[in-house]
Amino acid sequence: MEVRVEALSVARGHREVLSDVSFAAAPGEIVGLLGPNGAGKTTLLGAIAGMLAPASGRVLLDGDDAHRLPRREAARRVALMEQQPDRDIPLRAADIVALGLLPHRGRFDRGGSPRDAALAREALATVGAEELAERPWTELSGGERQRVSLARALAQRPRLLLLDEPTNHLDVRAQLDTLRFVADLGITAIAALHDLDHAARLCTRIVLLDRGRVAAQGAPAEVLTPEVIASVYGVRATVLTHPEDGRPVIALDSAIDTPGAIDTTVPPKEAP
Amino acid sequence: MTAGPDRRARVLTAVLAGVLVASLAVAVTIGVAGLSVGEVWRILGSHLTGSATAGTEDAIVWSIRAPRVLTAALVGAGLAASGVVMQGLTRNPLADPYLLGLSSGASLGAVGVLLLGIGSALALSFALPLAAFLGALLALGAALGIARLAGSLSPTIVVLAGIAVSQLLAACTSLVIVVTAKGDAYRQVLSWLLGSLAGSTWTTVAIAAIALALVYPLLRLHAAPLDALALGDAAAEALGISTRGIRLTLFVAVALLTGAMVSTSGAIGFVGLIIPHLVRGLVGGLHRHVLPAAAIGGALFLLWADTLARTVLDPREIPVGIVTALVGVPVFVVVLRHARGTAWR
Repeated sequence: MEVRVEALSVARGHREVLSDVSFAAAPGEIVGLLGPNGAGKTTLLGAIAGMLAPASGRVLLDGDDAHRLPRREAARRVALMEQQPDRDIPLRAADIVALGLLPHRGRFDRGGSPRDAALAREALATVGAEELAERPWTELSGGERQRVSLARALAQRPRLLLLDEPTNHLDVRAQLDTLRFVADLGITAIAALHDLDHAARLCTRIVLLDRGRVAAQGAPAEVLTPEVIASVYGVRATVLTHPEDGRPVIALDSAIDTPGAIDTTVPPKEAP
Repeated sequence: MTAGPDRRARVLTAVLAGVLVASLAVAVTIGVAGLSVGEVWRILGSHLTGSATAGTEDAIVWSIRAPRVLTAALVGAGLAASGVVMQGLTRNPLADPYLLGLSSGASLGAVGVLLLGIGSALALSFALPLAAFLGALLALGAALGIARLAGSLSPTIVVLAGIAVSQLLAACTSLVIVVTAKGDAYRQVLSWLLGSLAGSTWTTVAIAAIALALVYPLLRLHAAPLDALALGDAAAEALGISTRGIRLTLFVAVALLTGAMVSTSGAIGFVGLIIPHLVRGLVGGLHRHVLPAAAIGGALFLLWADTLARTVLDPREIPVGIVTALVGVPVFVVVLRHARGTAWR
């Protein structure tokens, strides 16, 4: 799917959390959204999914305005793997994956058919988590939950996959596994990421947000420079080149000790 | 993959349904009048075949006991289903119509209508559930409104607001009764606030049955969206569900169901809280399994609680809410202890 974000602004209450954001993702591309906490990454994902109304500008999904699509229609095209909720869900993994079939199911289809079960199993197999099917969510580890959530998103058969910090709280191995699953899918994906190295490894394009605005965008090597990292994150960094594939590898050296730089890591507060 | 658990849930639900039918048949033979089992069934049979004869025994069985056990079962089913849906809508394991004040709102509505002194029995049987529905809706709106004012719809805040509303409306109900009642005001206060099925008639059977027949299918239709809500609002929206729309629809539906039930029997606690948790332990958390099993389980629970309430202190009756609390709370504690991983925590 082709995604075009055009001069998008989103307000929450009186505060503009996204201002004049524009970028595009070509079919099959993996775009990384980077930026400090509060930069607007999650909000941007919500707007791309059509769940948040733009204050101005628009999001086009293959030419259709995302916010004008009926909820169900949007859900058939776009899946969102939200930030892992630290919440107990009284369901088994297979039940949760089967919820991904909801947007494709008839209004009076009660669910639980053998076909639904097979589709859920297939989605679990895609992320290598077939053996988790019968396990209750409450007993899954962070990495297992992540895989189940990804399987649910895949069961939705989306043409655009949105991921909100998919590697949070995972051990290193699980982080790499998750990124590999996403890369191997071959569908357009937009992922909010914290880890700059992950972004450099996974993404064809990076959009770096800073306080609701696009600070830089382009290929990882163009965006992830010491200057940009310093100005957005307030961190002194050394950027190396990986000897095998030439991707940038970022070594974070120290926080830059100036008030202005530190400010960028704090979300802007609402005026009292 | 889902075939196994699906079948288990269906079998368990069918077994519960069988137990319910048997329980109705047994409970109707139990009572303080000392009629024999054979006598009771003969009288019931005579009504079903249209060959009934008037008499004291006949009146006890057909006009008192039969509507009472049926009302108990229907009200239990309605309250338990309401509890399931409220817990799902609020993602709050403590949500139930009693705790969040719907029941006391409904009581206040019903008592208010009784004050108006509507003469016609038919008009009253419409006005009573309607007023209770409005009372329940008002209470729910107040609880959620207060929670929102307090800045959060988190489970803790919602329960606190609900308890406050519940206490306020219960106090209002008591006040109205004490100020206006002729006769035994305290008995009336007790039966509205703790619940009593002593007033059951074929009319209350009809009210409860109609409410359940109207609302339950609607709840059942929303089983999958309720499952999705457990993932969180953003995830549910991303699955194509209008969370605002479903909350509005189902809150009104639950207020209607609770209102109708309370108008027949007062505010009976613990059914809507305990039964959903018990049932999740048996059939898992999917609402397409939980809803029917909880409805049947609630019917069973209230049927037997009321049978105890009307017989154990013969010749006096205990408000059934006392029995549901006395039996329900220890059961609940055991369930909480053993349900790690399956129940909603």
